[in-house]
Amino acid sequence: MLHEDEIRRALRAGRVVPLQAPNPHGPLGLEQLAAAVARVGAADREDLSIPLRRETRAKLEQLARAEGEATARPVTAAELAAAVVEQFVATAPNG
Amino acid sequence: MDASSVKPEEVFRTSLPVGASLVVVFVPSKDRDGQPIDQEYWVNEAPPTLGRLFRGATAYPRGKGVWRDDRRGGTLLTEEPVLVFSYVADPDLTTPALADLYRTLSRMGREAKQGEIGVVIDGKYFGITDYAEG
Repeated sequence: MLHEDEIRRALRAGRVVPLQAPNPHGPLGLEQLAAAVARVGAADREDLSIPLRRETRAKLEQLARAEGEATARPVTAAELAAAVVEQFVATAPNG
Repeated sequence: MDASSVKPEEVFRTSLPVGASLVVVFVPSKDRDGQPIDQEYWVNEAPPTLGRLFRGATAYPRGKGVWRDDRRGGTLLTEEPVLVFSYVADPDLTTPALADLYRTLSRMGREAKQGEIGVVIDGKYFGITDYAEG
């Protein structure tokens, strides 16, 4: 039996989220499973609106386009900004 | 009668392994911009892949749903995914089999312009956003 990390690597999954669907069998179980999956996207992120200078916004969109061309999927300016902020915050010492 | 002596595979005269892990693939109905995709094409693509790898698969259409795309400013998208599931015997749930499944899902993610492709294996959601191969 494969471990979670082995499955994650084989599927190249970016994230693994345990679901609250104790018995996902049969039509009702699958509905519960689908509902649990629908909640996954909304569970771990919060929106934050921040003002940016126009030049910064334009360059961010330019970088996002370049990143999208370099990878196999489109990348938005908001995704790139979130990644930059999350990476900076993750490595910053706690204040 | 001693219940422990009953062998279901003999009662039902089966020779195939009994599935142990539940693998569920979510086939979306819309792309990340909310535009309808050719869902039928992908519903027809997923079961043969799961069937080839895991010896069987069933597609289960559902009612309407909604999800929030946090990568698009929290836009709400109505979604009618089809669940394709397979009960997989332990020996069949291997790294090469999952890598093979990944290639189909990667192609679906890229060609159907998805923010993320979801697979559930034994109660855990694996979110795929890397569509580099497939």
